[in-house]
Amino acid sequence: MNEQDIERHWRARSNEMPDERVDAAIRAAARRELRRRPAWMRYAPLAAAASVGVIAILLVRLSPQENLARVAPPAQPAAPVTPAPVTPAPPSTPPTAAPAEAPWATAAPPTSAAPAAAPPAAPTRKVAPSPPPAPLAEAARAEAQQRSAELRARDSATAAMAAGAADSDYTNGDSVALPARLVELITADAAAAAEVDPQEVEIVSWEPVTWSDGSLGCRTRGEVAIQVLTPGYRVQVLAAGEPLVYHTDREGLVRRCSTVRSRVPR
Amino acid sequence: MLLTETQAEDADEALMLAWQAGSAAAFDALYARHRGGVFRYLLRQCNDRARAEELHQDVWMKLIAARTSYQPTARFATWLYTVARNRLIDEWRSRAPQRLEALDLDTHPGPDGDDPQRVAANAQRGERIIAALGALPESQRDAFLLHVEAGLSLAEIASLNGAPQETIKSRLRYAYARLRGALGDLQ
Repeated sequence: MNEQDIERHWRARSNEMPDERVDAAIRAAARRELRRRPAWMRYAPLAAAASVGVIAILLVRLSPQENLARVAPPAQPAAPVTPAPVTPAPPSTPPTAAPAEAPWATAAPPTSAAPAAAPPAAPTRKVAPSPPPAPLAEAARAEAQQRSAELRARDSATAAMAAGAADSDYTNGDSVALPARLVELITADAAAAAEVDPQEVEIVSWEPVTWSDGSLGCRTRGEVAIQVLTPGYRVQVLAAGEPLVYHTDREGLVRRCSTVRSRVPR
Repeated sequence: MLLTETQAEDADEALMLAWQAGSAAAFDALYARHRGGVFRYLLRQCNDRARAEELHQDVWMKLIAARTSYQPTARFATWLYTVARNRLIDEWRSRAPQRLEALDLDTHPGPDGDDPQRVAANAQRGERIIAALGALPESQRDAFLLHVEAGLSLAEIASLNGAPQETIKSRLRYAYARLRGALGDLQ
């Protein structure tokens, strides 16, 4: 009798099977296992909702906003504040503009009437001349004023638009148009920042620029900007003699990239 | 559920992966293929049908629980009988520690505690080979069952036992010799 014979004898005799109830229980358990959701799937809806929320927040933070002109905080530390004497306003005179010292203050979108077209009779705070500024600031101001005069002389239509024709674009000497919406936003913000009447805001010059990212060249510390080339403008403004620089895109995003010196004595 | 011809012919590993992917029919095919071997392996080791059914169910429940983590790195049968043997060892550890020690000894008598030839001679003609196997030392019976019921090769049994292949070969040779002696007059 060899090994095959022994195995044949074995198989002929050893043929027990488990009870059918045991078989049924095992097969049922296998089917339950197939229906059971893995542990990670129990948390999948929650994780998906959280992911969607995070993505939505990132998109909102990184995408340029069309309807709100966001004003950037000062790009550089503020220069030492020089107390400027303020002529006392009439007792019944309310402030014409809210202070815009908080970073990323949102300038209210202008109404249908252009800011420059506001009634001139509205009471405004009279700002006394500032004390003599530093030589560099003086030179910059003088240059800006000179360019302003040149532009005024060269293109009277521009001045007219600045005075209130907000339904058409600005055009500089190089025939580069500045959209009327940007003019409105810049004028409103500069007036609010300098606490002057919009009529005292003057757009001095502008030039088309392609910014390297969504911060429009005004990135502040810790700011995250979408990395996309953004066409827009660099705009120089005089608000009651105060030079301001604005960076914009072409849609309506406006950022102030210069310091406004406080006019409130401390 | 009826099995397709393809499923009936698939390798164990393919069926296990199919079940892992959600096919209940694949599990049915796999279970139908191995239910008898696993059950008899356990039955011959514990000589108690009720206990063997309980262990059999435990083994398959462990397999079911390991569905998502299964990786076909070895033959399915090797993996299945490793689970069955480990369950058996757990059983012996809790109920009969002396049998656990005997699993690695080649001289320890089986649970029937007697010479296979004498045990076989006293048994009914049809029961003789079963009785003779029960009288084998634990290690030889284990090797024989893994070889005949599970269909494992010498190398697979050696791997499963953690013993050299020559040792397994020797155990099998002794087992066959004793069974041959017990069944000598049967042809």
